[in-house]
Amino acid sequence: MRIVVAIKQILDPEGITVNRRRERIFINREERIINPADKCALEAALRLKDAHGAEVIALSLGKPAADDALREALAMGADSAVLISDKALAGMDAPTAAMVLARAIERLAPFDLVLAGQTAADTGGDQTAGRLAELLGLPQVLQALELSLDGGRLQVVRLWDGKPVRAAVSLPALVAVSPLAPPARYPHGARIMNAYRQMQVSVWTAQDLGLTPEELTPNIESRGQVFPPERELGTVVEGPPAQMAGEILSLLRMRRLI
Amino acid sequence: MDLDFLQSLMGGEEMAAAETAYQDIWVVGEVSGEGLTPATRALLGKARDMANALGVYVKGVLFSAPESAGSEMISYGADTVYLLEGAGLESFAVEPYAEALARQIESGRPEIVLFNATSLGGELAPRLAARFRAPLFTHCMDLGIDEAQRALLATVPRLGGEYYEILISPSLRPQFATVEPGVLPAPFADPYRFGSVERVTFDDLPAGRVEMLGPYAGGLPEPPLSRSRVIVCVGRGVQDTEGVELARRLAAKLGGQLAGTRGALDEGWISEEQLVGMAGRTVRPALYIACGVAGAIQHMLGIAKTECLIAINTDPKAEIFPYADLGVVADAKAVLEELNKKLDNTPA
Repeated sequence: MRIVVAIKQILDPEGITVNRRRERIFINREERIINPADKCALEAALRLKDAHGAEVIALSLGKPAADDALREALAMGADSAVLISDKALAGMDAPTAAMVLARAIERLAPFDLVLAGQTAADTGGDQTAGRLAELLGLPQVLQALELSLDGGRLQVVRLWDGKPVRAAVSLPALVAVSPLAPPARYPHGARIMNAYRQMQVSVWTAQDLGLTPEELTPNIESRGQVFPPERELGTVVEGPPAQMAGEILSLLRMRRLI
Repeated sequence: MDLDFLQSLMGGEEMAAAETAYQDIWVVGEVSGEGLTPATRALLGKARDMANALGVYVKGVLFSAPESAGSEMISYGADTVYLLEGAGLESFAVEPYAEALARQIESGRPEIVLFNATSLGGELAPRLAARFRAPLFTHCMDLGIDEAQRALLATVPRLGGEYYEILISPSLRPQFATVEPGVLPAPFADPYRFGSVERVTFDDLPAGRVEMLGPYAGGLPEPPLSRSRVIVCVGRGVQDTEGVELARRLAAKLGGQLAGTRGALDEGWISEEQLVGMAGRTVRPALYIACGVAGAIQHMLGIAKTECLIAINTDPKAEIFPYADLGVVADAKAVLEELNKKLDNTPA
């Protein structure tokens, strides 16, 4: 079985502070990590590999620095890694990114399963997986939590409007893994060194994938940022427990938390 | 006299082009139980406002829905409603649903297609956007219209909602967007609004390749605390294991997880994975209920990015109160007991 996992390298959101009053975004600590949902997807692929044996190919699209993300994937247990990196790809929008990834995955054919993260923690994007399924003509299962292989069919536990449901699909298929799926393993120290010393990350350019400049023209523009109002500090109330519980519940209802 | 300039100013050629151009705003709705979902109603209200700005129609789309749901869409602002039907559309399957909607979009040529950011919208919108090589804005917090460019302005959350970015795609049509349920205001219904409900039947849709097997009954691994949406945190102020148990029950009812402070860990009430603060996890939940937590700086650093913080403590001078959205000066255990009781009595 061949599994392609698409991963994206992002700036760690924990290292970024947003000052709503001054309407500024501060990057306190510039650390690049694998997008959490994508890391869960990688973990799901490696679990399938552990249980049934599989060749796991990590694929990323990004700056040359994304090499580190792919080395991390290799250290975790991926068998090979491909980085699509090209100056021509800088500043591309979500539709273009999905198209470029789809081209690269086609080039990696034959494959049985394509895995991707459901959402991007930085841009909040929630469309690459669905777009890939359409572009590759694959059936899709989104918001997956657990994957298992039963005969030739993939059994998936997924979230549907917040509730876990079961789904089954025959391969080849695309599965998008939820960031709520089991967290990823830590790579073994020796494997980390190995990933840098002995393993290779292939680099593909726009030309390798036969992409033309017209295809890469971005069509989405930003009209600036909006900052939600700064959090207002609430009141302190005092009274008998029953009344206090009522106060709490009415706040929860107002904020639509229940 | 050369009138070309005047003619082009009045849009002579563009008038002819407008016949084939993309126009109208479509809303792909969802039905639950007795009628449209609240998010669908709100989306129709928003679509109506935007359609008025553009001078176009609002058209609703429903899959295998009763006529009454179509009429309800009209009362909330739709001018025409398409009820898509046919073999394969009885229950959700992404391929036939996407195919039916794609054919409808091809013949109707809407300029904007809106979905709720629910599982249905999340499955359909990216597939359709990819098929039409169109832009898609996901989980929008608000929508607007750039009237000069006749394009959708989408406010999308960044960094999990820390701030928003306004995006626009000036040239590509149709434009797709999914809107986060619950962020748009609920509109008023006008039962006397006029509109038409059309049934559209498809008879050769592809079969769905994904089998939906119903709810999953087995246990799921708990997501890590750092990604939990709701956290109930206990400190020494809950007094004993009984208080911790009440907090655990409250967390379960709110679909969240239990966490604790250093003090709770020392008492043996929580495990090390459940410790929140500088020495433990950093969390960013939508709701954090701190029960009997004093609010030492080591703890507060771990919860700085909480959206809504509720603190219950007997000490009115507790350090946590200045940070709380709602501070409650009372015995945490007693309040927890009341909360559990009240949540039992009111169905969610």
